[in-house]
Amino acid sequence: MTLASHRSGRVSWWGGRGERLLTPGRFPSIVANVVGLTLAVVGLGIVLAGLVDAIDGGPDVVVLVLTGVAIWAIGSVMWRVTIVPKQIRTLDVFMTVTLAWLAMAVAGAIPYLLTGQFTRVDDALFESISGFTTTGATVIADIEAASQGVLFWRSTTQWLGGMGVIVLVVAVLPTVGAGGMSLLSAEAPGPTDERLTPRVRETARRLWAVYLGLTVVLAGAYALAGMSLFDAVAHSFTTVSTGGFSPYQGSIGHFDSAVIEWICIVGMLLAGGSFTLYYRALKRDPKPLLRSTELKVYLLVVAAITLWAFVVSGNGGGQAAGFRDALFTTVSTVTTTGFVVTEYGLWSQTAQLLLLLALPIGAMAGSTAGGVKLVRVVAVASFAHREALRQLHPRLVRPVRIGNGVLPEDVARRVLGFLVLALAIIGGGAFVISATGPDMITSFSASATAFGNVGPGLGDLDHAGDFLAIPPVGRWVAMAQMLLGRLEIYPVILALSVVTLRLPQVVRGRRRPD
Amino acid sequence: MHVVIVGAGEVGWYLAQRLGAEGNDIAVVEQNEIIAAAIAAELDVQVVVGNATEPSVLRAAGIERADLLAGVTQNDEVNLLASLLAKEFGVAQTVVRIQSEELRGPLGTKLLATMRADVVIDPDADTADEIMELAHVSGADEVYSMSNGELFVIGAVIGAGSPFVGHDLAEIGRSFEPNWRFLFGALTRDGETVIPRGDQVLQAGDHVRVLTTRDARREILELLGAATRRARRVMVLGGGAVGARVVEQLQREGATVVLVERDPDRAKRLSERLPRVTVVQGDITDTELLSEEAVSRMDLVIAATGDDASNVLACAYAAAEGDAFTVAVLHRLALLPLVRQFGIDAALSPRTASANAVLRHVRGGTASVATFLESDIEVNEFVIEAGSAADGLLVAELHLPHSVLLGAVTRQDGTAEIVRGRTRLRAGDNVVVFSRPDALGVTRRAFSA
Repeated sequence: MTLASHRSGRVSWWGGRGERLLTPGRFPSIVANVVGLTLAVVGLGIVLAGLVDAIDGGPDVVVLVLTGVAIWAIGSVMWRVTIVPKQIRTLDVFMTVTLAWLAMAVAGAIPYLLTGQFTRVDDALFESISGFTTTGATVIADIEAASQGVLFWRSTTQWLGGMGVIVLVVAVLPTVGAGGMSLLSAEAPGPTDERLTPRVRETARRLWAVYLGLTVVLAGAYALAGMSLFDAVAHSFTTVSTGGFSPYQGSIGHFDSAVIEWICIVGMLLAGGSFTLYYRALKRDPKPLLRSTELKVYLLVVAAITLWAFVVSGNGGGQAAGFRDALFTTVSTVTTTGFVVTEYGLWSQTAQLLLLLALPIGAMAGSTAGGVKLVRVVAVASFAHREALRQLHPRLVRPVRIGNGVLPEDVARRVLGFLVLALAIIGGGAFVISATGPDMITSFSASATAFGNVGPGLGDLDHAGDFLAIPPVGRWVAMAQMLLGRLEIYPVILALSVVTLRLPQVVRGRRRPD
Repeated sequence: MHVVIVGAGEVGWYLAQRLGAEGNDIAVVEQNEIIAAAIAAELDVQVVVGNATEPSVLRAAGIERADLLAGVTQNDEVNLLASLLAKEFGVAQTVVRIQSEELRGPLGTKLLATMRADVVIDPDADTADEIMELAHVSGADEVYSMSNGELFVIGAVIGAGSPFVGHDLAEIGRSFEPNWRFLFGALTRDGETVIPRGDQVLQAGDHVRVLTTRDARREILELLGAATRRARRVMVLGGGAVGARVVEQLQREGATVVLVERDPDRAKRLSERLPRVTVVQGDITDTELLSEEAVSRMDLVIAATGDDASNVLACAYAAAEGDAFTVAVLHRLALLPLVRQFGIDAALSPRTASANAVLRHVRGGTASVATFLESDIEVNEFVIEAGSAADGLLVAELHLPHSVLLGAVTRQDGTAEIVRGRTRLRAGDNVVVFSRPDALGVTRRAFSA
């Protein structure tokens, strides 16, 4: 008997879900409810990793399964003794999303510690955050020495973080009501809060369905191209999520297979596009996808950087880059995936500079990619264009546009604010990281790659997202940047402001916490 | 013919005047008593005060014996309902004025068919179309296309540099033998309009309407000494229904357009709808704003607000500052003789634009109708019916009265030519005729079997 069914006294564990929601005696708390469900999902993921380890007869079966069950149990209890309140305020939403991600990060770090993969708490936390935020930076020195279970858990964190655990939670929650959409847009990458269906739960389900479908197709393609089943699933998880973790030290380059690299390029490109638009296209409404200005910009950016890297590097500016290498590295960077097939650190400086600039930008809104998102760059460019025109026409009336679409003025302002904050976070982060020791290029690219959720960087970071070159203090900065980048700043900052503003009052007992 | 006109606004008033002049019985239904009294005092028409959506009011206007109902109020719903009621009373034809753009679209067509409206007019759209014709043939102050665009009636003022000045039409005709590509259809001098004959001598400042083939329209404008220039930089003043349509069309044609709109909300909506247009918020008579937006460097300035005075003032300022061709929309025709003194090149009125559309329908057999702002001369198109008096005759043998001028003929294969006395007419030909309204009956009889 759970606490919830005990209180209500008449509802069984598995049945009557709808009724149970209405039963009295459950605490109304969206934070506890969503965090609980998130933990339950994470717990199940750890159990799955344990089972994978068992297939290999690995050493971590028991630890992983027990850890997973424990986290699942804690999460389930939290979920079942609480209820989503009818009225949800905006602050609650940001609080919920931020806390859910923190809880996820901590829960995800536990397996690393208990299996003995890491001895330091901050290393485990770094690996966990890097996973869930689909960054793909790592502090494991010898990846191939880790057990299959731990490696599978790494890939799973990225897969869960890619489309977003909150999106998954909203898809599962029986009722989230009006707050659901704001939960979704607080977590979903990019400034689109477009509904596919009138009911937010259906929207969340459809997004996950497309995500799951793409994962399955990609895993199949990898397997056909010669990967083992384990490798195929692990890499498909980290490709669709634009994460970039690989069970091999050599990343995708380990396989040394043109076919696998092409599959990976296509997979990353798809994952960098908008899943909302994919769903529509699958439902025979391909116009929004084909007419998307952001898609054109996305493909143009990829083509431009690829050609530059290919041509310039081939002209004696540095080591010649093969076309496939140039394309792979560009796609991997622009989509914020972070797979590596070549030593791009040997390319010409201009090509490397382009990669550095692309690090924090990311791909399309509504994709699994991290970073600022191209649509925001397009919006800010339109904004700047308008302000320049206004010098000529002081009384000009002109909207900020994305292609032919009009961006409402308040959204445009938010985007501009976002970009300023992003620059401040990247710049400030680079400063703090460099203060801990690394050189300028390494520090800046560490900061950009963390905020952009890419993984690898330049300077000392140019192989498979290895953050061992960054001292512990710098890693803490990177952890914060990864979360800020994944949640797109505002939820985290607002949640922090709640904590800093209200906590003293709560401590002094003047107010109940919200 | 008994005609019921619903709404004595600009369009209704003009229609009543025009159709009444042709000897039709007109009944006007108007809700506003003051307007009703005014039209009753001015025109020889029956006026019924009341709401046209009430059958008793329509019955009082003689709807049971009416052949045509024109619903031309500002209110789409009233016009539609009046039309529907008229059909119930057995009225053969209805004309409905619709302002909602969506109702004029594909979905609206279905609705209008269900409502059994025969002709749909929209004064704003018609005005915008006429403005666009002017923009295409710049230098002209009136442009009407006839015979599916094969022929044009172009109005222009003869410039001092024109080779025509000081010559009579017969001389001019001789210098263009053997084939004429244009013909003078009407001439206005000192406020009086005539259908010119061969001995008419042209002077600088004469306002002429020339019937021309499509290929020759630019050439004739040059010969008339009117400046012709493609409108690349255009300023549109006023983003109302007319202005917005014009701007949309200009944008599609790739012109550089500056649009000035006073209402901030409307300006914002227009700027969202028109991505390639520079939308500026402000008053169109604010000269500082106009010079800020470089009115002096424009090729074409179109003032299309609802306020005549502002339109005239803004155009006058534009004409003084630069050499743009200026077009003003005027709602009160009485102002028209004044506008040229302000340097305004062309003026047009929403009511004549719409009235042309209605008249075209009322005339039945005619394909296009043009009426001029300053006179009662009309241009009509007729199809020559087999077995009619004109079938097989030479033009010279028709013996049309002096108030009628047969201008051009379009053969069944689509070729258009300016007629001479020796041109032979055949059944199926389409003819363009300049005439006064009182001669319309004679003309129609000549072409019908």
